[in-house]
Amino acid sequence: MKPEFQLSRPALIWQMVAVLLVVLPLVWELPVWLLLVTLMTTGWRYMVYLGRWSFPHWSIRTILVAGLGLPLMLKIGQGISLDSMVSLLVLGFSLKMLEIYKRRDALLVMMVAYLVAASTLLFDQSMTATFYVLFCILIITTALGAVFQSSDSGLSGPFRHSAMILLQALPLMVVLFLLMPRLPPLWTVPLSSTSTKTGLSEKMSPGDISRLTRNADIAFRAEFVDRKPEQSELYWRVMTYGSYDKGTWSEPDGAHPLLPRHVSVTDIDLARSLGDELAYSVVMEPSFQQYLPALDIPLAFSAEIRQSTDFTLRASEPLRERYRYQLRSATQYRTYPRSAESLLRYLRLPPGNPKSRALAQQLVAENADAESYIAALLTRFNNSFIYSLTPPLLGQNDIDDFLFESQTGFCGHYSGALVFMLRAANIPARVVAGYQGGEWSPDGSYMLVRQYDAHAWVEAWLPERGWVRYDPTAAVAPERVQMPAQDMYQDQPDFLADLPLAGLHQADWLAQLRWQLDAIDFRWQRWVLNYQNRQQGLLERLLGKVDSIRLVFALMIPFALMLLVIYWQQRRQENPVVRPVWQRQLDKLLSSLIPLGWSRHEGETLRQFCERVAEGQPQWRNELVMLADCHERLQYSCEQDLRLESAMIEQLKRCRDQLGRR
Amino acid sequence: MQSEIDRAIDAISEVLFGKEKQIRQALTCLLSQGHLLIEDLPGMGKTTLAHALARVLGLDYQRVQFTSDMLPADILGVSVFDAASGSFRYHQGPVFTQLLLADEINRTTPKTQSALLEAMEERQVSVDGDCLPLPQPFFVIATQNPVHQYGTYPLPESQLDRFLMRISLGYPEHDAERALLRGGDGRQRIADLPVCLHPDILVEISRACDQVQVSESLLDYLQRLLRYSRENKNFAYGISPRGALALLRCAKTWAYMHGRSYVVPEDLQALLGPVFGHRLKASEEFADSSGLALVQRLLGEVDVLG
Repeated sequence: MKPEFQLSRPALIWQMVAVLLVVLPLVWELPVWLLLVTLMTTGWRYMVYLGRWSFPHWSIRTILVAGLGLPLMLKIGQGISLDSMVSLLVLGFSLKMLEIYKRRDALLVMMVAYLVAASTLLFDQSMTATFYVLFCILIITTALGAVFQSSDSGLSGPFRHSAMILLQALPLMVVLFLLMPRLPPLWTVPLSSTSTKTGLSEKMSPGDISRLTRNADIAFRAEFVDRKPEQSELYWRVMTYGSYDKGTWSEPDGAHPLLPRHVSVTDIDLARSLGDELAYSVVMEPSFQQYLPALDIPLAFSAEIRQSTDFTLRASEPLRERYRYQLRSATQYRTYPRSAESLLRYLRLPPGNPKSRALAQQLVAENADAESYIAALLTRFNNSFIYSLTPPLLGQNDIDDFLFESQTGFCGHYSGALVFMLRAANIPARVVAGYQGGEWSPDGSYMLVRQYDAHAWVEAWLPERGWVRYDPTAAVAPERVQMPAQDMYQDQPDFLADLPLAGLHQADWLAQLRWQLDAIDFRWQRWVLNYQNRQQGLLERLLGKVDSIRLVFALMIPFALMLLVIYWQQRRQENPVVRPVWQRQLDKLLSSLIPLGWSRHEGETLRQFCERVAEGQPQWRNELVMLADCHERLQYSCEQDLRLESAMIEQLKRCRDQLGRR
Repeated sequence: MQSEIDRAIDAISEVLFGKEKQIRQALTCLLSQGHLLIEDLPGMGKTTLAHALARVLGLDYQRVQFTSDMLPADILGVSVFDAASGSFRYHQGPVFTQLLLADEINRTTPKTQSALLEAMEERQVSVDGDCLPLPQPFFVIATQNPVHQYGTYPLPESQLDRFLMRISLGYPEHDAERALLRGGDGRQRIADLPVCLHPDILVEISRACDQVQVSESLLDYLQRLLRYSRENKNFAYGISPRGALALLRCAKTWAYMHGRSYVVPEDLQALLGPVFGHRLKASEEFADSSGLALVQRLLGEVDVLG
């Protein structure tokens, strides 16, 4: 089948560039074969342009749609998710390249390209992504314009034209950004069917955290309002593990009920602040979990966040995009039990590890109270244990092996072993997982916490003080909690092993650059993505009071102004001289005939038009013919007679009257 | 004088049925002192029209049937050695007449074509270094077959431009053809046609046509047509000033013929096809559209009222 119309060479080149550009960023989110399909159809399109191949027969196209679409449809059948929906969009978009028979098809492809480009922002809202999408829009607009331009204007002609159009649209874009209310979506699909994000998980077995130290992804950023805490104070609590079985720490569902909205643990007397508090805000990267990091005991936080009875925070739904929240935490506090029974589960131990149990009995006998028992344990850790990210594997009795054989490990091992020993001595205890420390930005304005800052520590229940934090890792390697993890881990062979250029990662100039980029991105996050938080304030300052009518006016006025400018420009170009009265009246008469179904064609003289109308409306014939006569004499007879003009105006009036009587 | 023109038109209509519009256009061309090209398939009445025109105009005329082996001398004349006087004597060719009927002009070679076309432009003939003026008035009515027929040498654009108008006759209407088939063929009666427009009347008419008024508004429309033909991408090139002048001259005659002392847009529109059709060419992208299709664009898309 031959296409009915041929795109010009520049239009085709721009079209192919646009298609590849919009699909490119989706490679990371969608199956790789989709990109191959896009490449194939684009290549096919080019061969069609060269005239070597033709567009595939409809049967082949049907097979392609069925064969490629079916797996996607099956996947969607299992559960709608964003990536499968976007996959479907990209598949259809790519296959459409194989049937560009008409100009309409070429336009359609470019219109859909806008949608595909926009879908990139569903996955990534960083500044780079945003500017990339803007660039895509420029290219798509170029391709769209090139369809209408002849090949004489070359490659750069449509590009300049589209750049001009977008520049003109810029002021409107700013106005829309500032004033347009951010409405919630009408419907949503889950972001991803299988999200493979790294981060803390709901189970911890020794080794999990060492896996995280291979990862330099950003976990979150934090800004402190007034006081900046010390490095060793920064224990970012994310979740707690109370159950231990077969070497794995976890927390059963429902162990900690969520408190109602607007209620914090202090309101129901689970905790009390002892004075020192920190105010800060956190920008969390997408984690696909509901857990939110917070320091110690959070007291006050944003309304949509809920607190659990183990003091940790949950977002209302899994974080699919960056999320910013503000909160206040108590760093000195006293906690109380929900009930005496609730503490019992923090004493439970599975059978096994006899040597450790024996050691616990021995130490209990030697130490009078719980605190000195814990101190003795920590001293033991400090004396003979080694901190390492690559410890040897442990056997069946993992705690025994760790305490008596290997004596080598990292926070996961130490906190697990400490909790075991505490429970063996009848002291309620649990593992707390989260992040420790972080890295200050060079100007000190915010703190960056990466996945390799992940940490685990211990909380022990002391009857007089409530939950008390103990960090056995600090006893073994105090530097872990006193300096940023990056400096601490530098000598460890496994640290950042997953990064392709791990060595480069630590180069000075690169670190500088990384920080610069991160600072820009952070500001982008605060000023652009979180703009809606400030929008209310800006609107109030601009409009006095925000209601829908004022908002509509504020949005309409800039548009109206711009349309007015365009209107005047058009008028000036078309009518260099003022048209005489009769001409304006004639225009009005002609346009009043349009709704009645009579419109003059461009090439029709007034007489021909009047004849045509008179055919359909014989009762107007006399007036119309006289009108044509008057017009002819006035316009073409070259008689310099003012009466001709007044006769014309008179006749126009009579015609209007006649039409009015209709 | 209008009555004489109407009589001439009626007379020709008696031998060429149902072609009043083409007869008027042809007459307009001749009254505007221009040469006429009639293009159509064989047997459509080209020669009949040419003969009838020559007849009613009362001019003495010559007919030349162009063939592929013709030489310029066959039209312009030839010098023959006269043994009696001992010198060359020039024998005038058929071109020395008031009205030359050049039948099937595109049957002959470009060399012969250009000899005739030069005579049309200069209204004189150069022979053996002498310039011999042609009689006054001097008209050429040429006929040609459509260029895609076998054995034709298409006239180049520059030479087409020498013709003020190009018209084609087309198949007759149903009723006209029926009259023709009933045996009313008037071709036999061409010789009996009365002379309606004597040469001295022609001069008067031509003078009267010059008096026809052209208003600014009309010139605005004409210039809009010109600008469109020059700026639109479908046109390989626009209308030249000479083409514009030609249209205006014909429009004046047309207006006079219809008893008006001023030109109206309808006049321009009626003559746009014959005057511009052979002066326009479609650009390469739109090569399949003919000159007349381009004229249709001009008619349809250029605003008359402005």
